[in-house]
Amino acid sequence: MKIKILYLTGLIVFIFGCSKDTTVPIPSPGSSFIKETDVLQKESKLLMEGVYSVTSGSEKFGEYIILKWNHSGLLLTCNNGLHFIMQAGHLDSVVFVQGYWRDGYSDATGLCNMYISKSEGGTTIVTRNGAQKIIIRGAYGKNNGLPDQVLTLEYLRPFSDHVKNSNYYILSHRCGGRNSDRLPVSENSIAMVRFTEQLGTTGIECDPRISSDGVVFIYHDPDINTRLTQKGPLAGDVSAYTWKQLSTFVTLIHGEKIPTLEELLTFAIDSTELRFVYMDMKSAEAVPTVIPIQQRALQHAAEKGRDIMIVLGIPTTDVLNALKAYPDYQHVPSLCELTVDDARAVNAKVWAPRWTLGTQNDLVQEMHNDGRLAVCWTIDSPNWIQNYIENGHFDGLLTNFPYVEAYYHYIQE
Amino acid sequence: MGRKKIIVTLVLTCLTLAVFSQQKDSVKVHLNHYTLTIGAGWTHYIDNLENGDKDIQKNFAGVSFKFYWEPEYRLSLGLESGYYQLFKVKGQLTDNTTVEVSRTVLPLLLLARMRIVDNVYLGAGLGLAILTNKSSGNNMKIVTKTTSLSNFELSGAYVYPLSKHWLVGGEVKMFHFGSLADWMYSVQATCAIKL
Repeated sequence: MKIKILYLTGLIVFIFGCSKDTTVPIPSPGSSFIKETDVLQKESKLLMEGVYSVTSGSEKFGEYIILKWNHSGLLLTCNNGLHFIMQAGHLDSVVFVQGYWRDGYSDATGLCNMYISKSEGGTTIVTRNGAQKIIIRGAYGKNNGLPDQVLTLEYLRPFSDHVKNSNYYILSHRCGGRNSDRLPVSENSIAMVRFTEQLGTTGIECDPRISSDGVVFIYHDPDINTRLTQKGPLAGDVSAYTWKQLSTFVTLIHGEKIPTLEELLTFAIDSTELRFVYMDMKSAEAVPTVIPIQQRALQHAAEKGRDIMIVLGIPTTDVLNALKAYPDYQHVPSLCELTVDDARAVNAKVWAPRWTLGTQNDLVQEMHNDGRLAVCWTIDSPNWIQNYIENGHFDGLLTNFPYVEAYYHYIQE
Repeated sequence: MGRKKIIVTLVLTCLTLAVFSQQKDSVKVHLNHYTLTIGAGWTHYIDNLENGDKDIQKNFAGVSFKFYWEPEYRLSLGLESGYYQLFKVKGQLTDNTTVEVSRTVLPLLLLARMRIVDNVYLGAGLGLAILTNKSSGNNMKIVTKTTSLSNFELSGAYVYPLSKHWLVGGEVKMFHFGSLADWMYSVQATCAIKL
């Protein structure tokens, strides 16, 4: 009898056990108070940026928090993957900060409301005048519950000159984040490019493929599957289909359409402050089609006065050979994941070794001496991110957790 | 939720039969023989497409082939294959261009079958399936294949012996093709020969 009950229970768990939830719901306060406030000037925002000590709430958020503004709001980030995606504005001399926190390594999330009173830095920030003493007071909650746990941050110092003067790239995977991290938008989508700046990203990696009729689009896997897309009638090798078929029948997991490379680059140039786009070529056949798109995008960026590096990634010898077959290939801005000799052979602007090979400071120095950058992929553990930032000389790290990288980068003295 | 209800109902029905069936067995079966079964009938795709399923066709004819080794009274082991069309959809690419997409499946499953009461069998199978997507229109045809490794089948059958060697019957079965998360069921008439 026990076996029968066990069997029946197991069967019910099997049938009902699978969850199709692909996102951690963003907590919503119902109405946004920030919409009623006035926009902070750029100088005011810069005054707020820096390292804060956590005087209440440190048991959850750690000893320090980094506050950094981005294109769409402000990011508060901790050393353990906890981060806040916030908006801020002011009424008179009081600054209000509202948003939500999320643990990047789990599904934990909640609302957060904070403010800076007149006497504790509000006046200084709004008038951009006076001593820089800022105390941010407020509370955080769990999911959609009212924030009821005290959180207090005290301004400790601005970012160091080393940080301010460095040309460091916080590079995010798959246009800014993976589906497996249950973000609210799909990986390798335009929506993700828009979203990822809120996570501290300053550059993105994307995955170009080519359709059977020669259109370069952004998609990671070789096949159409329910990890990346809503279930639709197409299946199998994604590159076997024409662009019209893909754009008609395939919808990404959160409802977006697959972007073309051209759409993605135009959006990154026109609508973000991203400074780096790393095209991680998924097919050598796409190289001759991608290079003219890259050149047009760089031309467009130059016309708009945008300081953005758009590089053709070389992850395999097939792609390397395809690049070498292209006329005047040494003038194509590229990023080589192979050896330093390969990077030199194609005059790559960036050398990008796998992180498991170590910090390789001597080779990184050689690349710097050649006038090339060096970035490292793909490093996700907070301890290793800290180690590579503190002990390595890379110009950027590619990660799935940009807020952790932002913490360890901006906290450097 | 509808799909889950169907699955639960089917599974619980099978389970009840298996768990509470009588031990009495009045059929005299010739031991250790082989059976070849051919089935044909109606198939229905359980539509769980999240997009692109406007004007979807879900009902088709399908055939199956089974080979059983029946070493003793109750349990049989076998192999099953077959050919089924899952769905056909039409989509509008441009104002004057439509495209047709269809998916077919060729399963290859290992089966275990159990006689519950006289002439009534329950079975389950696990194995491979090759799913073929065909997309045609705009003067081109694109065929892609997906090999699915995690597939299962649950079935219930009634088999009536016409003679020492020939049997006829009917079978209801449900398939799940894991790699593309497709579900279908089929009702088939079967004809078997004991070898």
